[in-house]
Amino acid sequence: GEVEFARIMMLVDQNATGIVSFQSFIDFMTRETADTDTAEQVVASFRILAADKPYILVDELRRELPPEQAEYCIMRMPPYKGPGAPPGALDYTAFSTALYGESDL
Amino acid sequence: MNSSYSVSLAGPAPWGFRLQGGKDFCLPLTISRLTEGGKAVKAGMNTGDIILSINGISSEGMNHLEAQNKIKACTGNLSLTLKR
Repeated sequence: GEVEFARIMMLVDQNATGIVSFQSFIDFMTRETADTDTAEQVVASFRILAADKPYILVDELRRELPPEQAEYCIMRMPPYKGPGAPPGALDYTAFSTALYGESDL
Repeated sequence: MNSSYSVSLAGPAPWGFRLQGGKDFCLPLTISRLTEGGKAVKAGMNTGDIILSINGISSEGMNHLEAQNKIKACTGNLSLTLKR
């Protein structure tokens, strides 16, 4: 659940650049989940934070992630363009696949 | 000897290919996978082909998210030039 996720995030090395912290988080997540597509696992992790919605909100990121990771995500995630999404909704799927440099189009 | 070619895929998405690479990965934008029976396969695209331009815009210097967004923003036909 969310508490577990936050706990895991705290275990990751905090670095000055935040970008490396996020990478450490990714490494941690991929170590935990062998034999699966790594971009998929990142997407699944965000889906948990987003309570199963296809988009995530700025407030949710700030609430669930340590400040550097939250701001990194907020800065880098593209806006979610699907139907019914509120303004400010962010596309974590596009972000995650771009992180791995692989997107299914 | 590299040969380049162009395709025009009829919209809407999905286009049936996986895009890999970009400036942020120090890799050219390439087709890393094709969906069997998808539009990309039917247009004659191959795995390993490098994307040179998207809808007339050169892909040089594009990072992965930019290329992904340009392709996703396309609601009509998607024009690509590629080389293999």
